[in-house]
This record gives sequence, C-alpha cells and structure tokens, in this order.
Amino acid sequence: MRGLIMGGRGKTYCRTAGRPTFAHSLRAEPFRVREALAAMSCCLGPRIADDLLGRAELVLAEIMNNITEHGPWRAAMPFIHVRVDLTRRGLTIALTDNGTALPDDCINPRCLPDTTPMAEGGFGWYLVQDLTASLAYRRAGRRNFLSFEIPAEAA
Amino acid sequence: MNILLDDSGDELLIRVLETRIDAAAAGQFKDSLRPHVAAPGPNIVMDLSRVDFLDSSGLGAVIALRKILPEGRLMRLAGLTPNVARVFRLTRMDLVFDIVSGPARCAG
Repeated sequence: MRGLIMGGRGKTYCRTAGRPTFAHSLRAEPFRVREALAAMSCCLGPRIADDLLGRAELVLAEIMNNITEHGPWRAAMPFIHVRVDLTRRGLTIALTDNGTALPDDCINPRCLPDTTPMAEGGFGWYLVQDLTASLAYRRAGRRNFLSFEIPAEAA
Repeated sequence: MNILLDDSGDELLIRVLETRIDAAAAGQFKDSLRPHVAAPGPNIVMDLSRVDFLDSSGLGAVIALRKILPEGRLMRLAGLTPNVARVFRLTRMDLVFDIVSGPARCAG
C-alpha cells in the first residue's frame, strides 16, 4: 500500500513496500493525536512486533500530548509533523512542530517523580527517555526538532 | 465514557470498557469514576482488560482515583494488558498499586 490520504483532520503517508515509512501531519489536539497513533498502528502494525508498536505509540503519545498541552495560543494550536521509518535496529522517528520551546533539560536523564505524596504527573518525559535511544532536540527559529530511535528489542 | 459498575455488596467491580485512556479520555475517565470511588463503600476491583492503551495522563487519572479513596477502602487493578502493564512497570507504580493477575473476578 502506498498513498497520501488528505483530509481536514490530518494528512497521512504510508509506505509498506520496501522499507516501511509512516508520516503524518496533525494539529496538536488530543483527538488528532489519537487519530495519528491509530493511523501509525494501521500502517506499521502488520510489519512490526506488538511490543515495538506499543512502545512507539506510548512515546509518541507522550511527546505529542506535551506539545498539545503547551501550545502557545489556544486559538491556533501548533502543527506537528511526524515521520517513522522502520530500520534493522528498530524505529527511527523525527518530529517537528511550531509550538513553544521544550525545556532545555528535556533530553537529560531524569528521575521518577516522588511517591510521597504520590505525584499524578511528571511521568511523560521519564517514559520518553526510558524507551528511546539517541534522543536529540534542537530549537531552530520557531520550530522544535526532535529525533530518536526506539530499539527493536526492549531494554 | 464506557464504564460498567457491578456492586456485589462486598466488592465494587469497575469494568472499564474504553480501549484507550489517553489524554483525550483521562479527564472524563477520572470525573466519571470520582463519585463512585470517593464515597465510602466496599473495596474496589478495576478491570482494565479491555484497555489496550494507557499513557501518562491515563496513569495520572488512575493515581488520582486511588488518592481520593476514603480511609480503609482499597482499590485493586486487574486484567492489565501488555501496553498498560508496561506503563505501571516503567514508572514503578506496579509497586504502589495492588495488581492482580488473571480475571477480575472468578466465575460463580
């Protein structure tokens, strides 16, 4: 299957022949994030292990939710472009968005939040760092650029 | 929010029939269950066997529900699918929650 599906809700590219690639553009809103993940699952799911797909879904959900929650203007949420390539090592993923800058320490290893009292948040970036390799972040102009790998085998 | 409540008198079984507790659903999930969890009542088993995706906002909602339990009321989690179990394991919340393996309630 190869195709570019255009729609008001987002734009998907899925190539499953040769080296599988998935690309999707979406406005940073919770339901659009959900649709993007469903489209990725549809595209790459048949070609990769459930465990790898599950880790990719979780990492992308955390990153895209973060962009959604920290959108600069409520009236015009940022736009996200995501690309996922299947390689021998796992998945190579690149994201860019025009939202607010990520915190400088987002790529630094971090600890789990306190359990006394039990935190309800702060787990997102921890999960991203735990499940990714070669996480890189750059802010250029008004855009964020994030790239990382999700290893084929879980650590 | 698709949730079934089954109160047998000595246990409240909460069956979560949503397949995703993500950022789009976590707020509603928490708000729908809050009144059933915050009031005094029997111990709770939350059956998550239909949930195949949960992110940190979903985890936050489950933690928030646990925190509003009245004194002495317990909440156990059951039927964690691999994607859900991963989030609890990586965040060490599997050590904080009482997680039962197997079905939420045996037949009979």
